[in-house]
Amino acid sequence: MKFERELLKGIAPVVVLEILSRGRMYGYELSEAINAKSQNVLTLGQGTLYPLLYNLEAQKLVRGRWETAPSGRKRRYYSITSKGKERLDADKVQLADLFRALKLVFGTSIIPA
Amino acid sequence: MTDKNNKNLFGNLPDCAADYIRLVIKKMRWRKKVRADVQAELIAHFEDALKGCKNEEEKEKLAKEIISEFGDAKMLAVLARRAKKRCRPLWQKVLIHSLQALGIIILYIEICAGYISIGKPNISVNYAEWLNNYVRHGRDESLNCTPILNEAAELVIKMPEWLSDSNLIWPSDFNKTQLQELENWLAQNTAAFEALREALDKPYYWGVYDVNVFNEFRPSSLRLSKYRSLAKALNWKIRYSAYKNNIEEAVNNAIGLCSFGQKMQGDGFLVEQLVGIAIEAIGHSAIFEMLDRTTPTTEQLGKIQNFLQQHYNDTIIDISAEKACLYDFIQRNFTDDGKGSGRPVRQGLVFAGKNAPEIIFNALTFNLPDKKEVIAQTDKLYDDLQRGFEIKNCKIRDEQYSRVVENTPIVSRMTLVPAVGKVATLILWRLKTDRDGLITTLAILRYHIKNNSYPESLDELFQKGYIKQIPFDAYRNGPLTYRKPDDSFILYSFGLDFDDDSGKIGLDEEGRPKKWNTKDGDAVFWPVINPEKNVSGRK
Repeated sequence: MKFERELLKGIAPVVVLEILSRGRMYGYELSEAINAKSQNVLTLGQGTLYPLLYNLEAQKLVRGRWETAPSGRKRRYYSITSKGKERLDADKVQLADLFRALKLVFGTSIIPA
Repeated sequence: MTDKNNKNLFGNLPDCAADYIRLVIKKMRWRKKVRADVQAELIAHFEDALKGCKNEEEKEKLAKEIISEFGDAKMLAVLARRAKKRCRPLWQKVLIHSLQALGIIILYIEICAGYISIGKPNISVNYAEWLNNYVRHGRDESLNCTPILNEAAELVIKMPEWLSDSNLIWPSDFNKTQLQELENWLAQNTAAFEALREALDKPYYWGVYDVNVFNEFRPSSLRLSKYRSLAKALNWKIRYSAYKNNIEEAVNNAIGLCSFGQKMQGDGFLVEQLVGIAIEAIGHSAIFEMLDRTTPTTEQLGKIQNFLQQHYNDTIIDISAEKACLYDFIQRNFTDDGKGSGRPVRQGLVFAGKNAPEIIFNALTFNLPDKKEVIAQTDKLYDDLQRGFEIKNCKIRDEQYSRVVENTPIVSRMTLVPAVGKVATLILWRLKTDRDGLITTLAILRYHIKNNSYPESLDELFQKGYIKQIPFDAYRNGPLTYRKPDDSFILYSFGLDFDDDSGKIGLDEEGRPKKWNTKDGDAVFWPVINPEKNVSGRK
């Protein structure tokens, strides 16, 4: 399912931080993880993923580091920083509030409980 | 080698994927290391995505799908670059922003500099021609003494060093050898004296001025230092003639020397006029010495006095030449809108502020003076200065001078003007007072010859027609001070300290008597003082 770009724009960093909070990943792995976890609903455009990671890195929410993968290939692994975790917690609270508000507005028929 | 490296770098990626990555990296236009990082990351992404493909065809197909998901290469490059830029460390960001700011400042300065340098002045007046006409006053060239004066100046043999270094002031103080050398030196200068005499037969002096390549006025036909040498030689000629008791010749030469100085006053550049004043002062000094050491006849005394009185009211200093120079400077360094206004260009910037920081600030904020405004200030400055020369009361004049300097904005931008003006004023009034002192001394001596006594007062001298006006002391703002103790007299000005020191002679830093001393003492005309003599109780 394709979401409107603007709709996804605010959600994407939270999704990335959430996935990375469960363990470090490299770009492709992260992309696959998002697809899998969201059951292919939240498919971040791959062109969006890397600029998004670089932005999060600039904000020191994630840290990227070149490492050799078990396959022997070099990969750039991204991991969440403590600052990233704080942001994630805060964003999660906000998202919960947002869902609650949307539920009140649209009712259960649109926003499943 | 590079192709091989590229091949290794992209491994088994299909060409479409490799081309896409290359395009993204190319469009990134960012630091090499960052681009290499992004490239490696994209290659890894494609490798991971394609690793499950069974054949090249499948790889190619999937690669195209991924490329389609990545979207426009240029857009990806731009987004990646922006994000990577944000990753720079703080010091790098500060440095880059500082350099950017510096660049903007430099660009702005260049725009300002361009604005200031591109204007085109309009040279509409030939001030050199104007000045040449001004100093000539429409007179015929045959009346100009300058060409012959220059010949005389070229002929003069400079004073021997031993004489210029000594304090000797009268031939009787010389030893035999020195006297012989003096005679020889004067004899060597006979041709110069002859030429000078011929020059002084001409009634007027004016120079010829041109504009040199640097657009500055320069007196092209003057030899001012040689004029001074000529005057010094004639000074010794006067003293030697008087010493040899040839008083008539000494008197004529003394008048000639004063005339030489006076001809140079009142026209031309200030520097010429100051040389004229200095030459006349040498003449005064020679006459005073002659009066002290010899006994001229009443006719001879009257001859000198008449000459000095003849030119008593002549203008001594005229600063029109300097004013013309400034006009010319403005003309050459301001644009012209045809209505008299304009902005400064290049050197005209000196009018944009009182000092370098203010000039720079005003230039950068385009707060530049208008040509009309600068011309109006120039007019005011030179009119005030010229009027200042005429003020007799020295104290008032000095106060007014300070006001002119403080209240005329242009003055602060031309540091030389106030200094030159002040020196000129000082020298001018010293000469004027000295001239009054000499005229009065001559009159008193004439009175003494006729009456065998000295007048009771200057008023008596005036009442009996020996002088045309009561001599003025600019340093007292009243008459010169005259006293008649017993069978002698004393005549003095309060001098540069404005105090009456009862005729006490001022001393210079080495303790030698000096007529014009700024620290203490009066400017005593009579009795005549000199470094070699005891000044008390003479005559």
